[in-house]
Amino acid sequence: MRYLEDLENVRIINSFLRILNKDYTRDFWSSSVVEEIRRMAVTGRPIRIFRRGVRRYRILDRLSFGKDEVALNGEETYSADLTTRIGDVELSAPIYIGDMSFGALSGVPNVVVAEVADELNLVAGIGEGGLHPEVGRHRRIFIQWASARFGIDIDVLMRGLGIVIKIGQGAKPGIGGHLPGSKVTKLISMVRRIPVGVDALSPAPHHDIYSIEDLKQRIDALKEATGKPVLVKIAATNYTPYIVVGIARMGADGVIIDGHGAGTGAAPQVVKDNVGIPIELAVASADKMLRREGLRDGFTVIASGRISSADDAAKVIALGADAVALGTSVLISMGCIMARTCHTGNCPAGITSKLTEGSVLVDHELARRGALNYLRAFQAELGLIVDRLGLGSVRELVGRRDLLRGSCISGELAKILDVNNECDADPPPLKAGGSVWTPDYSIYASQLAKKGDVVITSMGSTGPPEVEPPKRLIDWLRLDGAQVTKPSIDPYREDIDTSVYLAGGRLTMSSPIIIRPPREWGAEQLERAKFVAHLMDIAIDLYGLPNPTGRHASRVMWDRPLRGMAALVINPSDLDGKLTPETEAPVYVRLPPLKDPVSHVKQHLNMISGIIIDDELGGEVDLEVSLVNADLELRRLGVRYRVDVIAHMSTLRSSGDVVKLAALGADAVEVSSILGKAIVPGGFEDKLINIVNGLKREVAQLLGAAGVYTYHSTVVGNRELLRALDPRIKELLRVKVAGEW
Amino acid sequence: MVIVNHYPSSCGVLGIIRANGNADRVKGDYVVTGISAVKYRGIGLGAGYAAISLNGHGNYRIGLFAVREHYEDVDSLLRDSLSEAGVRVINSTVKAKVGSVVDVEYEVNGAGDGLGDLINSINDRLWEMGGVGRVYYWGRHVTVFKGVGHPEEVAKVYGVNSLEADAWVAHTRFPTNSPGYLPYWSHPFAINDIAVVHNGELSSYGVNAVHLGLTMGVRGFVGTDSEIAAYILNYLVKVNGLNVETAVKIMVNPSLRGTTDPLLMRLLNEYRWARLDGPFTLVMTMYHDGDVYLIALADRFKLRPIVIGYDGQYYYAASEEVEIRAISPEARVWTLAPGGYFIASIRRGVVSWGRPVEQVEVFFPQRRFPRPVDGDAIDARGLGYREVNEEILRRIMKGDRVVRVVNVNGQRFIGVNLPRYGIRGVRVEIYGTPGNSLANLNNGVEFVVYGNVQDDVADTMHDGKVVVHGDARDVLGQAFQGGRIFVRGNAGNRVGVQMREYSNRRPYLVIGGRVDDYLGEYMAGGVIMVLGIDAYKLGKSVELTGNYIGSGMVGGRIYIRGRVDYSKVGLAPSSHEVKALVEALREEGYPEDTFNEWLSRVLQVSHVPRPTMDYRELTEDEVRELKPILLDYAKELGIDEQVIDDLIGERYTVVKPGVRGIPTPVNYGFE
Repeated sequence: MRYLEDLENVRIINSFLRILNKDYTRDFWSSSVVEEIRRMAVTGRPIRIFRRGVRRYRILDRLSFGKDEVALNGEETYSADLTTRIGDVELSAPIYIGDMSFGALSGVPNVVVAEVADELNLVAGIGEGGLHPEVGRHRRIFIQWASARFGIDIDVLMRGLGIVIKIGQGAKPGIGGHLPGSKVTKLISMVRRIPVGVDALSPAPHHDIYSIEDLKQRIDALKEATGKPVLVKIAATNYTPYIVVGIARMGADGVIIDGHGAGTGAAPQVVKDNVGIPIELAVASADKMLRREGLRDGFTVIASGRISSADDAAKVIALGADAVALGTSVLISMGCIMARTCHTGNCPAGITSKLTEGSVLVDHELARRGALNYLRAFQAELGLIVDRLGLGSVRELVGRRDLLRGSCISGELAKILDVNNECDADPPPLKAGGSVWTPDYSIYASQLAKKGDVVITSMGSTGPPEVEPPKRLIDWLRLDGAQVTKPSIDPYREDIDTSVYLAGGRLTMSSPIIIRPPREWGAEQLERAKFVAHLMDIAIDLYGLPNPTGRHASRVMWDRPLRGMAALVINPSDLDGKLTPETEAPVYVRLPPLKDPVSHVKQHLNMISGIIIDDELGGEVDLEVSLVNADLELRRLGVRYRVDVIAHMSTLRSSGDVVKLAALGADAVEVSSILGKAIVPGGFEDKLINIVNGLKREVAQLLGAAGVYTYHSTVVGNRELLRALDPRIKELLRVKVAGEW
Repeated sequence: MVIVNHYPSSCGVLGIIRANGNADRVKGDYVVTGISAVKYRGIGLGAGYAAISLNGHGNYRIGLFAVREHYEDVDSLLRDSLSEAGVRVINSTVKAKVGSVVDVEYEVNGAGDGLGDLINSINDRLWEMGGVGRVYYWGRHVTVFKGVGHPEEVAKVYGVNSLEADAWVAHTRFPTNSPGYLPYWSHPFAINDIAVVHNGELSSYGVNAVHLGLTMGVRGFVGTDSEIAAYILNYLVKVNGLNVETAVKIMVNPSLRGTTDPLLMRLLNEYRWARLDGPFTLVMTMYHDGDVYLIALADRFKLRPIVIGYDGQYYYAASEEVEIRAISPEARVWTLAPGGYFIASIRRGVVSWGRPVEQVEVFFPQRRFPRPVDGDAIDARGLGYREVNEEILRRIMKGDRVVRVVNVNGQRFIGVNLPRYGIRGVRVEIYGTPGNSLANLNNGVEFVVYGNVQDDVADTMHDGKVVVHGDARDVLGQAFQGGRIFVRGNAGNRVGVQMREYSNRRPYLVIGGRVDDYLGEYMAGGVIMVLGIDAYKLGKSVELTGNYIGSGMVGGRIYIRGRVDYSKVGLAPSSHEVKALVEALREEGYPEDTFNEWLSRVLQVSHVPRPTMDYRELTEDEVRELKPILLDYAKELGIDEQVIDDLIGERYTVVKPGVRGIPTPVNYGFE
């Protein structure tokens, strides 16, 4: 570890730390998964194959080769040929060690990864943080060309076997990077070639790549400059099959598709949990379209994101990948305990620590041995799987969907995956029950209130449905992330218009967020909340709550008339009584989630400004269903732009929910329980300002990630921005299934 | 029409219109030449042309594609549907038979206002039958020729070269997928004497399409963005009766952030379904109200390229300047501003220039560039970029210190092969209009361009020089890290984004004219100067930049001659939000002197401070640093040193990074 010797007072971690106890509904990388990887890292031997999937809501876990699990004694050998190629590069096994940058990792793992790739004849992507000379000594590396071009020049490009143009990553499709100046230490500064202490920004898109033909231009330019193979790395999103076909047509040598839930050093939690689609669907549909277009031969597809075992790898290969990328699992083999503190730079295991004096770093030898052993054991398991499937080589497994069996995979999913289906029990329920306020989301709410900004966390998503069991229909939806065909937009530095124009312009707001105070707020708190609503250019709905003063009336929605008020909120039974032609304020009718909500106000559409669908009132159907039906019916009637739809979902817990409800048809969304959750006594007004600001900024972030710069005209009722992870949701909400084309 | 199909694709576009009634009609030959100049923007899987004539036919014409084996069914479905509605086919002509497709034009009479709905329902039924046919244009003034192939191939099938029209649009396509390789997905899309070509991808597609489907009753979309745009323009102008400029303004979707005009806000909301989002340039031609229009619009982020040209006879709108140059080498060219639109008609002339007309006059004069002197130059005519680059390399390896390339028109990546061979200290002189991505990764070579350059010049340049005698376009000097970039004319959007300096290397970028939005976004080091030399010489006080200057900058300096309003620096808070904040504070009785503090606290993000701004003369240190750079600029571009001395004495708006964690003082700008 001479290469880091100028750091003083470094504490070296030279043995594995104790594993944190986490069950599989709290972390994809639960204790049992971590333990198994550790055993492989210690022994270098295979453990078992044909694992039964434990996650009933993860599609990959619902696929199997139809064989019983085989426990191994570790002495087994395999005869299958695991070699494969990326462009003209031969690999001893279909493994690409993921693109983890110098800076995201603490240096030692970067060097180890390159060393191990050389030793095992695999390849490693260096990520976007530039090339440390110690990493650059190794041959089997791919150099990343990312939006910021940190540390990149022609010499660095020529050092690798090939180049990876990074468009996006699965953990945060459409999101850029931001390494604060405080973390740009001497070493990072040298590798990235930026001054010490200056923020390192990676723009969300490449500013020379806003379309497919632009990407072709960059591929051609890099080939002209270097003569090396070029891969393109994208996050799996709505248009993945089209994008992958485009990439192949443009002459790239391959694609790395990074699926939802992949690891990251830092990403907004709501982006991690709500944007992008699972790797199994992305790979299956991309492979299928490539074949249809006659572009599959000679083009390498690498599947990345949540490959946790050789079984996961074998299944995505059977779905159409040539190789898999491993990132998180390799870090676990070096001692990562999923503390999820990468973004703070305080990694207890010394793997993602900040590179500075007094830091904690993993021991080079510990990491090297762990990674080597793990990868050898992984290869052995993969070899044994291929053997037992009766195939001579892993290349023969590519695209063999016929070997897979699905458990209750139906409808559009069955079409995308093309696997044999068996269903001897009920398909998993759409709603598993339980509180939406998981520990992760409780922390999220309090972070939002504390920081007033986008909440950043690290490593892969723990969100629904795959990890946390789904509790609402929106838990099955994913938002689009802009990749290649359109650029994402940076909400902090660029003009994203999140304003909302309600009641024909009589109520305009800066963001689609309406404060719905929790019942327990007292009179003084309600007064402060009214002020905050006004201050932040949004509204507050005081239906059923006291409102003794007339202050900030222009932002107040209430059930009693008030001079200059934002809106009068009434019940449908009041339509004939309370409502007179003299009613001055815009009128909104509060309805429970009904199957056909518009029919209940149809006679009065010319007298009201909109409806509020409120699940606190009970109702016949899920709020989401009612919302979609309202949006569509109002469009059919030709009055959609005169009649607003506002949604109140009492279980709303994040900005991701806000944007999903908008895309299903809500012009604006009332937020309630998250306010109650986050705002504890003390500093009420500050916390309320923060939480509203946090939500506003996250809404802008999610829009920008999807390549949207106008909220009201573009997002509301735009179900094309969504994808569903279950065909039943398609029927209920008229949203396409992820991977469908 | 509740769940939509949407196919992303990409491409090159072109539009041409007669500048006035006296100009000659536009020859198809020109159009084919122009669009073929950017053949590389397509991939041979779709191209097309639409011609519009002022003097139309008496009867409507309907263009139909049918899959050959279903032709009879499709033909009778069309005839039956028409005759049920009292529309009679009086003539039909097979225009072409290509591959598995028959292309027929029907002449009909008895058609009235209902023809559009009728054709929508015919297309819907053909779609339900598995896409066995498609009406792909209809009207009295429009004809479309499109197919699966390269632009010249499609032109040849229909003899486009020998046709004439009053306006044309053309397209070459880069599809992601090609369902069945049928021409339905090729562009232009045309309905009701409107034809549209497009480049980009609409993120608003899901709303646009569902609304057209459910509210307007349009069904069976093929799923491309130009199709949606054609329907939107048709509904706005021909059904709802909006004037052309208003319709275009709605589609281009201006930001409401700074808009206080209640009429515009009302229009934009009433027609919310018609607003477009995402990256797009649209080029549209239309017969309307006894006139023929050419319309070009760019999204407000200017995410797709578009150049406008004029040569006395014709107006042009093209993805790349090289298309215009291939037809009209001396044409005057300018660009659309972000969110700008160009509208010209034969009878009305230019309705909108695409940016304030004063900007066009001051900053985009017709430029004449030095002709190459005799000598042993590389003639780039007919050569691809690889051949040009190989020849440049060969000559340098042979020992040439100056390599001259003439007749350059559209070759991309020039010089990109040189860094790998460690080549430094040589000069490459380029005559003409090089294609995108010139001098990327440059590490010590001097490039001099006698002409305009296009997008993405000097990306990740570490050393050397790029001298442009004309204009540069978008994303000039991205991640520029050392050396000098000198532009005599203007540069476009996102100039010098993420420029940075390290160790002893500092990049300098000098623009002689003006720039558009997001100058120096994410900038982390180096110096940008915007001089407005011609405006200065003319004594005109005009703004030299667009909006969002230095947004997110964390290092470096930007000098803009003259005063720039602070609202243009960084991402200013929306005026609506500021207004609400002030009202709330007043209603709560807070003293006015606390407002700024509130504004910083509520509307500023602490980790992305707005850049700071000074308006002042250059300091002595600055003169010492910058004068040698400017003298070099003057020497390279043949500018009198006196002008430089005068410019150095001027006052500048100096933009620098704000400090993280410390709110930037703001003027909340109400009252």
